[in-house]
Amino acid sequence: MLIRSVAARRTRRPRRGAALTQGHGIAYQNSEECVEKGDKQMTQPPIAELWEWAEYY
Amino acid sequence: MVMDEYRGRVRLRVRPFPLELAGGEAAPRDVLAQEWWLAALQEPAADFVPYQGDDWPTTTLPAFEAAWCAFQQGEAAGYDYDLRVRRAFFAQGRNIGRPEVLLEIAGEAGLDLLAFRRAFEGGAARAAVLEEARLGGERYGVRGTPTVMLEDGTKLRHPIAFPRLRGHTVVGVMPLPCCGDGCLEATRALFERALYRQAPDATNEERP
Repeated sequence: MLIRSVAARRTRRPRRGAALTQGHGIAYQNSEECVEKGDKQMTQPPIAELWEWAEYY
Repeated sequence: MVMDEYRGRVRLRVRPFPLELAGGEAAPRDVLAQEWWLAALQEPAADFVPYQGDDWPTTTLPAFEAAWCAFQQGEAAGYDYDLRVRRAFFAQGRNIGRPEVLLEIAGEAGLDLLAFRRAFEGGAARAAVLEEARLGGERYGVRGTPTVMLEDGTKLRHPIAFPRLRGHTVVGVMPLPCCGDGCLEATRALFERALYRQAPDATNEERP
């Protein structure tokens, strides 16, 4: 009985919040539910670059 | 200041373009001495003291290599070192072409000197600087400095006034687009342009 309950816990679907670290991140981050829950800040947009080609004088 | 406002959204990447590689020689002292006051006018918060020494730097390659080594210790350390090198030359009259001066500056900046010296004396810094210069000239069409551009190579207009030269003599200067804190907005516009690069704003885009 104990073994069965441990196995059940291990196979339980991850909580939505935890999904980000368990391979379901992209789908969750792009979902409306994510935005509604205010979790969108966990998605980091790529940092844009501005280049300055420079000389020292 | 503006860099801090855009931290995490836009990264300013200073890329080396030693003019001696493009033009075959370092900036002539007689020309640069005439441009000194122009830089002072545009950046009143910085000190500009005319260079008095007899040992004018005949190369800036060591300075670029040293800055590359500083950046290996972190982006903040790299930018701090880069600024210190500029100050050393423009305000303190130090020869930034000399390796011992660049090591002194590294010490003043509080860098890990052992790591800095090891990197500076290895060949990786020189190779990295030369590769950047090659990329700038061949792939992105850089011809002079400073040249500001987006990651896709779109050149932007830098808010500075360039002198007009006849031979080695400055005979005029473009109107100053801004001065001191007045340049902050123009600089922000460049960062905004990088941030919203999908929505072009022709006002600060370089015309061919």
